Formats: sequence, structure tokens, C-alpha cells
Amino acid sequence: MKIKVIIVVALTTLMVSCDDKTSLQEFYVEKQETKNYKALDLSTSLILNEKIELDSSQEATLKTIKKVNILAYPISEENKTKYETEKAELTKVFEDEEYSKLMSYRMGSQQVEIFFLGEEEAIDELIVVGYDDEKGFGIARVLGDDMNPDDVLKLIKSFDDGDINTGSFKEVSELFKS
Amino acid sequence: MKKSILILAVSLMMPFIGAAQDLTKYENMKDVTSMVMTSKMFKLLSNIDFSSEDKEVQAYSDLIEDLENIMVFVSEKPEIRKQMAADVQQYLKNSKLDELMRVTDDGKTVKFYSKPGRNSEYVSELFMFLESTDKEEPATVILRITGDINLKDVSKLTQDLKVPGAEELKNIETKK
Repeated sequence: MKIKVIIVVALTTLMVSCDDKTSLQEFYVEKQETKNYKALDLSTSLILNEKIELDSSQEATLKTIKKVNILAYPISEENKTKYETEKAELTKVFEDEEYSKLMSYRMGSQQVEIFFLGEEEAIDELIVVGYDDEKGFGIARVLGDDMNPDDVLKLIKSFDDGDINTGSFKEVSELFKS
Repeated sequence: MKKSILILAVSLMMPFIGAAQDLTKYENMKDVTSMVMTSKMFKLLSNIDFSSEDKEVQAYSDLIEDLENIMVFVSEKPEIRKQMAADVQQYLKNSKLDELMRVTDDGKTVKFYSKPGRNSEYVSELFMFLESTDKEEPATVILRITGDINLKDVSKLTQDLKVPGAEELKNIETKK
């Protein structure tokens, strides 16, 4: 009898812990088609003005950045009740140790977390997640291939105001206006 | 039979009882303002060449390279503050930190603890517990920094970041 109990408990624990995990990519693909979610893909060429002139090393840095994709769940009257469930689903994705947390900040009903995939000097994906329990949550992923933070920062610094297509940022802010 | 269930239940509960002493739970707690930075963040930042002749920036760069983790938790809610005080007490007991200094001033108690580092100028952990009973804004602050920490540099960093208790930390060297 005792053994049976132990076996049952052991099995349930095992099943719970083996719960198949969702990667952020899977989450993204699934949710961008889901009601209440809004998605936006920005390729780096869209963000930058075409006329911009870059030297070869800047060009190389730019090539390591592929695109930025954004997924948002803005809270509205209808979907308010499901917010917590969706949020819990998302936070669960980041429990996977594959995502290295850089930092988190929380104040009141707002929270920001930054994660990355890859090595510190060669980042493959930078993820910024923001939660606001009144407005909703959003995930911004900067996808690339061995992005070097130092080079990327230098590249950004080299841009003048006119180099960046601000129209693409307007689209982002539109996401949260429902 | 009943007994075995009880034992089972208790043993299943054990990890949760242990986790209660873990301070990281405050990271995602409602009514707690929190900030956590990980070693990955510091490594990433230290790889960035700020190409600055500014000595101060350079000093920061050197300082953060050797840090492992910074966490700050602040709460103003009485229930949470009570829980924080209990958890800190338990934490200090378990991790065997030495008391570095204690300042009581104007309804504010600040206690600093540390773990010895590689020599007298360095510590491997710096822990601060601040309790303010000020009627206007009572608050409890927990600050924990781990890594290879030069006390002199840290006091500067906390001042610049405006971390509560930074003023008290400034005097740490003179009092030591």
C-alpha cells in the first residue's frame, strides 16, 4: 500500500516536471495568430533609411542584426480577465535556463525583464519583456547572429537623427493603442 | 497509513519551507520595488569599450567586471516589511555574515554585513538591511551585492545609483 502511494506521488511529480516546455519562438508563432495579440516584424533595413552610408565594419555589424519582432497583448475591456493566464504562460517560457537573465526591474504594477540567448560577446537574441498590469504586456526580440554589444552600440552611436526611420517606431506605439 | 501520508506531505513541503528563506522571492512580489542585475549583465557591460578617457567610467568598468549579482528590494507595506525582517534574520543566520557596521539615525536603522573576500580591502558579499520607521514614509530596504567587491568602489557606485543607505556606506571605510 505504502509503495503504491509513493509510486503514484513519484509519477505525478515526474509528469509535472516533464511538462513539455514552450520556447519563445513557439510562443511567438502560436500567439501572433491568436486573438487579442498584436505582432509586428521589423527588418533592420526598414528601421534604417536607405541612403545611409556605412563603412565596411559597420556594414558587418549591421549584418549580425537580422530583425526585431514585437508581440504585444494590450489589455482591453474584453480580454482583461485572460491577462493573468496569458502572462503566466509567458513567464513560464523564461523559466527555461537557456534564457540568461540580464536584469529585472519592478515597480508598482510595472515590470521589465531583459534576457538573452548566446554568449555575452556574441548574442543571438536579445529579449526585452515589459509587463504593465493595467496596460498589458509586450515582448521585443532583437534577432541576430553573434551580435557584439560593443559593436552594436558603436554603430548606434554613429547614426545621426536622419538615419533612423522613425516611422517604424510609430507603428510600435500604435500597437498599444486599441 | 495515516502516518505515512503525513510524512509524505511534510517531505513534499520541505522544499517550500526552505524556499521561504530565499530572498529572491521578493523579485516578483506585489508591492515590492525590485531591481536585480546578474553576472551576465556585468560581463556584457564589461565587454563594452566605453572608450572614455574619463577615469570614473573606467573605474566603473573595472568594478562591475567582478560583480556577480546585485539585488535591491524595497517595500512600504507593513506585512511585507515584517516578512522581510524575518527572512533577513534567517538569512543572516544561515549565511554567517559578519556585521560590518550599524547606524541608527532619525528613525532609520541601517545594518551592513559582509563576507570576507580575498584580502582586507575586498569582500565577497555586501549585505545591507535598512528599516525606516519614519511616519511619513516607512520602508524596508534589502540590498545584496555579491562578487569580488572593493568596498571603496562600491560606496561610490551606490551613491551614484542613489541606492538607499548609500550615505551610510560612504562612511564605511573611515569607521572600519
